[in-house]
Amino acid sequence: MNSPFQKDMWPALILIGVGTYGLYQAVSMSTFGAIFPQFAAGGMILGGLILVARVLFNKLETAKYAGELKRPLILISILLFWAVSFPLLGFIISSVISGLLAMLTALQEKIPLKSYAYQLGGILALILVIDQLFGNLLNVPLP
Amino acid sequence: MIDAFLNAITPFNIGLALLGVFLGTIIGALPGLSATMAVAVLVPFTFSMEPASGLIALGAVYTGAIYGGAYAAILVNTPGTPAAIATALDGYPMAKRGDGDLAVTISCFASAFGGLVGAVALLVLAPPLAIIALKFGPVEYFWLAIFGLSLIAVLSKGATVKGLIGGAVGLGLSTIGSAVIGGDVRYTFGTPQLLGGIHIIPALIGLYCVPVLLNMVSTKEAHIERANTKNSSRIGEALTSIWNSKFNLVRSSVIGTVIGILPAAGGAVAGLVAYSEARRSSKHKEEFGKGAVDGVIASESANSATVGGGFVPTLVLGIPGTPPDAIILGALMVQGIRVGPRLFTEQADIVYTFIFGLIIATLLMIPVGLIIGKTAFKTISSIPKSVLVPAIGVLIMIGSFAVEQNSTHVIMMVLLGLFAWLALHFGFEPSPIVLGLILGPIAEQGFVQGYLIGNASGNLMGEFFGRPISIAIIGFTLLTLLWPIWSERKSKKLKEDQIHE
Repeated sequence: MNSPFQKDMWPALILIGVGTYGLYQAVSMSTFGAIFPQFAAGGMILGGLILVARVLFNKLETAKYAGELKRPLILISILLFWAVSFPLLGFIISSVISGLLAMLTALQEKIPLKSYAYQLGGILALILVIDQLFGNLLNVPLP
Repeated sequence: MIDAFLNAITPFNIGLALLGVFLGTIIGALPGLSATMAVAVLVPFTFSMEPASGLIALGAVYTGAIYGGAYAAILVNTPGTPAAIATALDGYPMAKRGDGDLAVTISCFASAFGGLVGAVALLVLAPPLAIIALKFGPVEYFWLAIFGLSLIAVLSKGATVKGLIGGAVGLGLSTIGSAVIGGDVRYTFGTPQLLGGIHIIPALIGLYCVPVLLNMVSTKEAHIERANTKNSSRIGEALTSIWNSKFNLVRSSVIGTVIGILPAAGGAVAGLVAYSEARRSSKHKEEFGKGAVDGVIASESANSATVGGGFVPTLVLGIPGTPPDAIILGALMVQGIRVGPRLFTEQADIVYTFIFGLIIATLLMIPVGLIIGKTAFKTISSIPKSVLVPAIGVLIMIGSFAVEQNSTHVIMMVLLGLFAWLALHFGFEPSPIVLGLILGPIAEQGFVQGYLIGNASGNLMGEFFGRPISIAIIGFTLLTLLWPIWSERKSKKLKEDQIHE
C-alpha cells in the first residue's frame, strides 16, 4: 500500500465531501428535480473513491507543475480584486489599477523606461477604446 | 430564383454582407461577445432597410461571429463563442507549436465550406429538412446530449477516470439554480444571484482563459511560437490539409447542418459531435488534442454549417434553432414577414434573396477571414506577455460582464478560473467540465420530459429505447465509446502478430 499523503488524495477527499453534500441537499428536492443532482453527486463520490483506491494501491504518475507559483497567485489575487472592484470603482478606474498591477506581475525582465511607457500607454488606450465601444456603440451600460 | 440572385448581388447588398461579416468576425473573436449579441446589437440598424437587405446584413453578422470565435480559441485558448469549444482542443496546441497561422487559415476555409453546405441545404432542402426537426422529441434530445457526453472519453487524453469525474463536476455545476423542470431551487446557498445558475459564457471564459493567463505568468517561455514564415497565411498548406481531410470536412458539414436544424442544439453541440466523429474515424487518433488539423476542420465546418441549418426551422416552422435565429425571427416579424411553410412560395423573392445573400456572405468570409487571421496571429504572437496579460484581463472582465450586465458573472468567472487552474494541477482538463455544464440541462430536460411522456403512455422503455432516431443515436454513442477500445485491441494484436512473425 502506498502512502495516503499523495497529490491525488486532496481532490479525492474534496470530491467525496462535495458529492456527499450534494446527495444530502438532494433529499429535500422533488423527485424529478433530484435525479440529475443525485447522478452528478454520485459520480463525484464514485470518482473520489476510485482516486483514493488508486492513490493507495496503484503506481502513481501525477503530473508535476512546471513554473513558479508566486506570480500566478499574485495574478489571481489581482483578478479577484478587479472583479470585486469592477462595480464599486467603475470599469475605467478598476481596469487601470488592476491592468497596471497585472502588467507588473507579467513583467519578467527589466525593460527600458520607454518600452514601459509604451506598454502602459497601449493598455490605457485599450481600456478607453473598450469603454467607448461598449458604452456608446454596443449600448452596454458599464459601471 | 434568378431575380433573387440578381437582387442579392447588387453592390449595396454585397457591401452589407462584407460589412456584416467583418463586424461579426471582430465581435465573435472577442471572448464573451457571442453571435447572439452581435446580431442583437445590429438588429435596430436593419429596420430602415429593405427586408431582404436587412436579413442579409444579419445573416452575414451571424456567419462572421460564429467563425470569429475560432480566433480566440486558437490564439488564446478561449473559445470566443461556445460554438468554438472544440476548435480550442486542437487549435491552441497548433498555435503553441507555431502553427497558429495555419490553424487560423484552415479554420477560415473549413468555416466557409461548412457555411456553404448549410446555406445550400437551406436553399434546396428546407421544407423536407424541417420535418426531421419535428421528429426530435425530448428523448432524442436526451440521447443527443448523452452522445455529446460520451465525448468525455475522447477528450480525456489517457486519463479517462479524471475525465469522467470532470464530466460529473460539470453536470453538478449545471444543476445549480432553478431546475429546468419543476422549479426546484438547487445549491444556491440562499444567494439570489445563483438562482439563474452558472451562465455558460462566464464559465467558458473562466474555465479556459484564466488558467492560460495564470500559466502565462508562471514561466518566461513565449505564450505561443512567433510567426516565422514570410507568408504567414500558409494558404497552400491549408488547402492541401483540407483536401487530405475532405471526407471529414463533408461529414462534419452535414453533421453541423443536421444539428443546426434541431432547435436549441446549436454550434457547440455540432462542433463537439463532429469532432468526436472525426476522431473516431481517424487513423491518427493519438494526434487529437495535441494539434490535429482534422480536429480544427471538423469543429469549424460543423459550427458554421449550423448557421444555414438553423434557418431551416426558423423560416419553415417559425421555431428558432439558436438564440441568434430567435433575434432574426423577431426582425422578420418587425419587417412584416410571416414565417411558415408558405414563406417559400408567398414571399419567395425576399427569402431567396436572403439565402443567396447568406451564400455570398459565406464566400466573403474567406478574404475577410484570411486578412483578419493573418493580422491577428502576427499581432498576438508578437505582443509581449506584460501587455497581453492585462489586455486579455480587460477583455475577460468586460466579456463576462456584458453577457447580462451582471457583475456577479465577473466574480463567478474568476472563481471558476481559479478552480480550473487548481484542477489542471491535479490533472483535470477543463473540457469535460464544460461538456457537463453545457449538456447537463439539455439531458435533464429531455430525460424528465421523456420520462413523464413515457410514464403517461405506459410505455417507458419504448419511449426511451424504441424510437428510430433514438436507436440510431444510441448506436453512435456506443460506437464512440467502444470503438477506441476495439481499435486499440486490434492494433495490439497486430503488433503481437508482427513480433511473433
